[in-house]
Amino acid sequence: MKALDKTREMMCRDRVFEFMVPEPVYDPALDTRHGPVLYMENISVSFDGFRALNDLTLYIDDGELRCIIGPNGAGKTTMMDVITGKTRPDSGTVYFGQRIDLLKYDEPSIAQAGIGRKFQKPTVFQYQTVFDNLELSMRTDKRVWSTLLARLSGEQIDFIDETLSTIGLNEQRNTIAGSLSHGQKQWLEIGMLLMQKPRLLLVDEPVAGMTHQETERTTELLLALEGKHSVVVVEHDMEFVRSIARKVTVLHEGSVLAEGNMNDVQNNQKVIEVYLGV
Amino acid sequence: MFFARILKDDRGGNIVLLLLAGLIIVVPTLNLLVPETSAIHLSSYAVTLIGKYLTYALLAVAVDLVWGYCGILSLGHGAFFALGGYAMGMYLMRQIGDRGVYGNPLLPDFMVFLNWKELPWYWFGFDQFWFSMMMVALIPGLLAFVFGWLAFRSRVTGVYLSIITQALTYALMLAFFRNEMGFGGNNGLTDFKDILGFSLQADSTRVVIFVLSCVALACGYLSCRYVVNSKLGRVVVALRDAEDRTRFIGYKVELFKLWVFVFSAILAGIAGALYVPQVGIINPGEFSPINSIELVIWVAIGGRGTLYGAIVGAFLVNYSKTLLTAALPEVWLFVLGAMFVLVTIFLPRGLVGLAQRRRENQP
Repeated sequence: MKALDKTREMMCRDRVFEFMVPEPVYDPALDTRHGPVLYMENISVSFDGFRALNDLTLYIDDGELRCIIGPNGAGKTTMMDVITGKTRPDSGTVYFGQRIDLLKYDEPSIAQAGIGRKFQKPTVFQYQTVFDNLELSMRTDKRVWSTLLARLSGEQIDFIDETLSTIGLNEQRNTIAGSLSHGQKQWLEIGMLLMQKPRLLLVDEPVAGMTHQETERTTELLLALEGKHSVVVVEHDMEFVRSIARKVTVLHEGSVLAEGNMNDVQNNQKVIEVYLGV
Repeated sequence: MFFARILKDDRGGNIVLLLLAGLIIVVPTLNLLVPETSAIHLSSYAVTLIGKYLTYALLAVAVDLVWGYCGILSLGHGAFFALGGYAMGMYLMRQIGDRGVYGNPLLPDFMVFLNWKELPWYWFGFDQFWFSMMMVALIPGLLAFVFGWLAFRSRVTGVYLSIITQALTYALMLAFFRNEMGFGGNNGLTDFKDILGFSLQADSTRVVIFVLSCVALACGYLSCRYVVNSKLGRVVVALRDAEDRTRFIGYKVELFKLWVFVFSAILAGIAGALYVPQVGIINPGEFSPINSIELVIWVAIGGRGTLYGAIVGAFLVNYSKTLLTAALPEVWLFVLGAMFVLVTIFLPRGLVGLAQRRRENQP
């Protein structure tokens, strides 16, 4: 039947042959026409009866810098695990843009689709140089054989250098990553995420254990990313969240308790109860 | 040009390859050209002994690639070595033809002895050299592929993986001990006559196999060095140090591990295939877990994560083994254990690491 249809199609001389029509340019990258870059709807996750996430619904806008706060056990890390494919939710949907159903993919594919994640504890490749760390993270063909044969192009080297100056580690270019200070490791890890050219960055406690100056630099770095990437920052440090002063989401017992700007959230009666136990 | 790029900044590798080139020239000369009465004549025994060390060294390089760089402590690499050896052994068995004790032109002696009437299907093709050589790489590679696919996909790591690899080689040993398997039971395969028509007892054949072992070791070393220098090598080191990080920047970690594991298993198989014609026998003892553990010790003593360290370790340990088991056989295992403990405590980077440190300390 199909062959017959095809033949008929061929005989319609008033039309351009179907095989001559160029393939529609179908943007495989994500579709954010409606605003949000990430849709999490009605997510529930439980571990051995403990509900880590309870009917969580959260949208992140394209280019937005969002802070997520919440007491311990509020489900912040579990939420990141769900987005990055480490944990499968019991129910709910997670969409990246309009089209990409994240629940269908594993961690590497989600990373390649454009979601970068920074761990709570700075995790870099200890025995390799800062440059190598960035090179390995670069957005490129990451299949086994192409990795074996990969050579750095001039453009790629420029991109690495650019990222090095963004994170302020130009002088440490050839330093072994393991000998960097705690703060520098955090920045390097953020740089590694940037090398992936992500649309969405998930940053888990970026200023934990940092000195005051380091915290300030990190704030600047994250603010500079706003607009180019969507950034979700999970943080305990209220001072830091206030200095970013963007939309804040408060998680509590696995669902959203309050959302709004810092002042609204701080004056919200429910939030005060949860945080201060009044 | 290509080699120059691989060996740039690889002092140890350069030295090892130079020594290998030296062996290729010196050993055949001393064995074939110097008359036997001369004091510097090298006996055929010594030639095959060094040849055996060379195959061990290739095996050690294969282990160092997975352990030192990829962080997979495989305690079952002896299995891949033995499988390569069996593939070669099967070819050599078929070459015996009707010169066996029972004079059966088709069946090897042990099958006649077991009263088998026809050749099992898996022995077909092994009368062809090219087929057997393909199997030398294919069978260990396939086993490593299936095993690795299952293990890495289920994210089995660390000590659990080591134990499973150990169980793998142990299970294979038990299986190969059974006569019904059709691989000669606990006697294994032996009594080989010739290879490609050349008598295995002839000095010239031995020297050729010796030279081939040198070449195989050099090629194995260079290919591993190429892998390690490539971006893949850096990814593999990255996943050794921070597996989650590697996964979250978009690498399918299990496929990288699988690739390295299979590649290493193939190298081990080739080493086994060169080992068998030199020692003249392959039996299920080669599968025993103790062999696999011992070869991890060679790598640890030589210095892991350097590749050439594995070669140094394989030679040193096996040479001392040859000396000691002749002089004081009971003592050998104690010495081996002591070496391992001392090296682990005092020389975490092995003997090669000691040399490196000494050089770094010099102004």
